[in-house]
Amino acid sequence: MNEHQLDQRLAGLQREVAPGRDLWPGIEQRIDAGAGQSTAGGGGAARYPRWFALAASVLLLVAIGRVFLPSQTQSDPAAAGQSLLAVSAAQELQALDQVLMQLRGTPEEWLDGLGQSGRYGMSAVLLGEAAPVWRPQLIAGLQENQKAIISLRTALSQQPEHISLLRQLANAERRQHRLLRQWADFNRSGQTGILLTNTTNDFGEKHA
Amino acid sequence: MDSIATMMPMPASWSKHHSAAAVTVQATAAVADAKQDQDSLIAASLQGDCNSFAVLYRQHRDRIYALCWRMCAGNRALAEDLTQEAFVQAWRKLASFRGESAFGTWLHRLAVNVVLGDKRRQSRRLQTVSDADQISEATQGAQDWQGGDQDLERAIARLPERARAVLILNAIEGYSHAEISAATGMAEGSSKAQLHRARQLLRQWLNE
Repeated sequence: MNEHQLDQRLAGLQREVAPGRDLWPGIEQRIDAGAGQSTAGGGGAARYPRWFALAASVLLLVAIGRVFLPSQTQSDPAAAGQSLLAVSAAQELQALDQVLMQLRGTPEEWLDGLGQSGRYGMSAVLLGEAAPVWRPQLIAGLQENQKAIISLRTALSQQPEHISLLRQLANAERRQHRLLRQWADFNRSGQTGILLTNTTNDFGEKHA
Repeated sequence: MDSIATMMPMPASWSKHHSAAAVTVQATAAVADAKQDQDSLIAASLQGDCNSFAVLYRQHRDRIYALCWRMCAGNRALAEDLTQEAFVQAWRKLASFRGESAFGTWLHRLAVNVVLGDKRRQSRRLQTVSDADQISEATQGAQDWQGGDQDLERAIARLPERARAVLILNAIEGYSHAEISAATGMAEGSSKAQLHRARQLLRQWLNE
């Protein structure tokens, strides 16, 4: 059999096949069972009762508050930075990830927390005037990234199996960690330019 | 449109040119009516009219089932489940259908995502099932097929998972490699390689 003959046979396959049983009752049952959830039926406001929208708004506000507002009960960014710097260099990377997971507050406070250390006191000298220039860029990048993470998590709560969203969320979180890691590395080594030369994100876009 | 045109009765006294033009007009009108019907069915479904959605289901069921059946290597029970799942998801996501493509195209893509999502979950779940078992099950499933090119259907069912998916989506359903890449997450080059492999295996098996 040559390529042409195979093409002909493939083209001759039926595009429609009837299932062996009636599938509609099962579909209808599931549609009815999910009538109160997000379904097409009911359209617009009827699909999302007012109480549901209200509850979702409250949850969103709480989530945003937990991310952006400093909490006294949560770990203090400065203390988090200190605890990170207390561990040995070999464990630093792993510890940084743990610390980042616990961080609350604003990106500015994250940077302050990661920058405060007697051990890294020399960075204050090495950074010179460069840090104030980079800092706003880094903070803007972190804030923008954090917004993307929140949006992606919200979208994933509705479509948990969406592979593209999952991939984007993983990339955004990886980028957030990397930015903060770079800041910590910079503070430690005083390698000027690290934040400016390695700013391509995981979506392949250049970040200012 | 051609198939509709050939079904139209034509008076023998009409000139060839006249009759062809008239049939084309009638066929165009028939297609427009069908689209209008479909639009009104979608609109009614969005308002929660399950009966309208049942009509949409009946219009598209066989094409969606054929896709699921082939992608599941002829496993009838699984194909029925996935067909149901595709229509349940279509009901839930109908509000996101913006009419940028035909409803059938939108539904088909949704069904492809449902099947591929299930395959990903299966591959995580069924690591212990051997290839031989899968091929045996697939070949048995393909024997359920009661029409068309049974040898070819059986051979398609025997193909390795990824090669089969690419062959079905490209050679039978008409998806481009870029579209397959977007849906499956594999690179376009891999998609082309899988298609080449699938065709090679089919030719080999069908020549035996």
